[in-house]
Amino acid sequence: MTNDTTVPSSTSTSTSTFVLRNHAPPARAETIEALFAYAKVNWKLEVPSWPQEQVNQPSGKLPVLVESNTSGTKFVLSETLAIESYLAKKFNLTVSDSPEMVARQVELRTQINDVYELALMHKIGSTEERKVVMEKFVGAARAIVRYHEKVLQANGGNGHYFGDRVTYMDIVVFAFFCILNSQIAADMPRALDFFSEHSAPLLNKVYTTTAKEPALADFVSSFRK
Amino acid sequence: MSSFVLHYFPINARAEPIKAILSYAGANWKLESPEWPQGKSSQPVGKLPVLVETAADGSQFTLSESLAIEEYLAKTFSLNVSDNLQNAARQTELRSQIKDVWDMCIQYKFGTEESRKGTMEKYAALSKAVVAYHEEQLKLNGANGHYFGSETKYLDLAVFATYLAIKDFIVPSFPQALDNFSKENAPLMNKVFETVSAEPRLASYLTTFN
Repeated sequence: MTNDTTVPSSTSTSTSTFVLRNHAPPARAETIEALFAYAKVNWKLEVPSWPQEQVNQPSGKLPVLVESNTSGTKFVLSETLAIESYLAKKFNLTVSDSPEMVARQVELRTQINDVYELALMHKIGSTEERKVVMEKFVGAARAIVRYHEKVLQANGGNGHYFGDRVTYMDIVVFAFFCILNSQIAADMPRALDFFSEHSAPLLNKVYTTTAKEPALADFVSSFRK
Repeated sequence: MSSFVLHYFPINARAEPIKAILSYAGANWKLESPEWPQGKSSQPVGKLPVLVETAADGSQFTLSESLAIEEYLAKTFSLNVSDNLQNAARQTELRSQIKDVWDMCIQYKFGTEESRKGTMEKYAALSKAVVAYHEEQLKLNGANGHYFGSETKYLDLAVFATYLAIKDFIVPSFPQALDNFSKENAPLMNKVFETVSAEPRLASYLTTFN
């Protein structure tokens, strides 16, 4: 497997402003917020009254992105991964146009999301449900770490998923580790074992490499509180 | 010219959109159903579906995750919406919503009697909201039986194939699953179903359903 090496740099030339409608953090939009931070764009969080505002959202769920361009035209988009993918393209953070690499990016992103969703299910589940979800989490985490370590090795183990610069997937894993080390660990301390430096050295390298980006300093410190 | 092997269980379920795209595109493909769970450790992350593409030079590309596979095939066979960034995002959004519907159907099907009560309530609300939104989007496209433009594309195929999968795999244990997708409640989505089912390129695929 070869990973792409011609990755565009992340310079946002976006003149749009962004409103992210979401529940009060922590609430599933960490990668979106990290993308905003990295791209240094003008954005703000709006927390709608809930459930009163539910009917005003595209399919009754949050987060929802509202982008306003300079002429005042609005573009409204729901579904977390659709929002992330849109912003990543807009901020030139996606992998190059090789269809295989784009597909790999979607695959890898989906897998991290699967682990995150299982962690969420564990947090809100009953005692009985938590046992079942924990088993699924263990299986998923082991398999996904193994696969991602292989992919990262194939890219040279340099702290990036693709090429030698920060791209969308790096930010995904960076945001995931921020949540892992705070919210997920608080509910499911065992989760840390699967993503430790010993078990997932190259994933940890992505996290530490991305965390050093000056644009993400405030984001990092918001999780250390 | 590539050939494709789709690794999946021998059921009409999560991989239906993938099968529909491959069939519609006239791709050289076949389904292989690994022994399970013996075949688990041979898959990228122990799950199905997995796509294995073999190019003319013999090189192979292996990909997991159903939506990643779908998007890859849609791009390969020029079935994606245009390169307009916002349309591409809208396509992803609408597809994700249908996936949410499917995932909740699966949650119901494999849930306990106790959990099914809660799931059914959530499903009713979700499917109603998703249908309302999709009907709005289809109206914006001129209510012509397509989500984008005037030809059958990825999203038309994916939504139709998911509808067929729900009918085949879910309804026997969850009879209410398609209530909000009836012609009365979802006229424009049903127009998509009728339009896509009339595509000659899908005739063979449709024979796989009873």
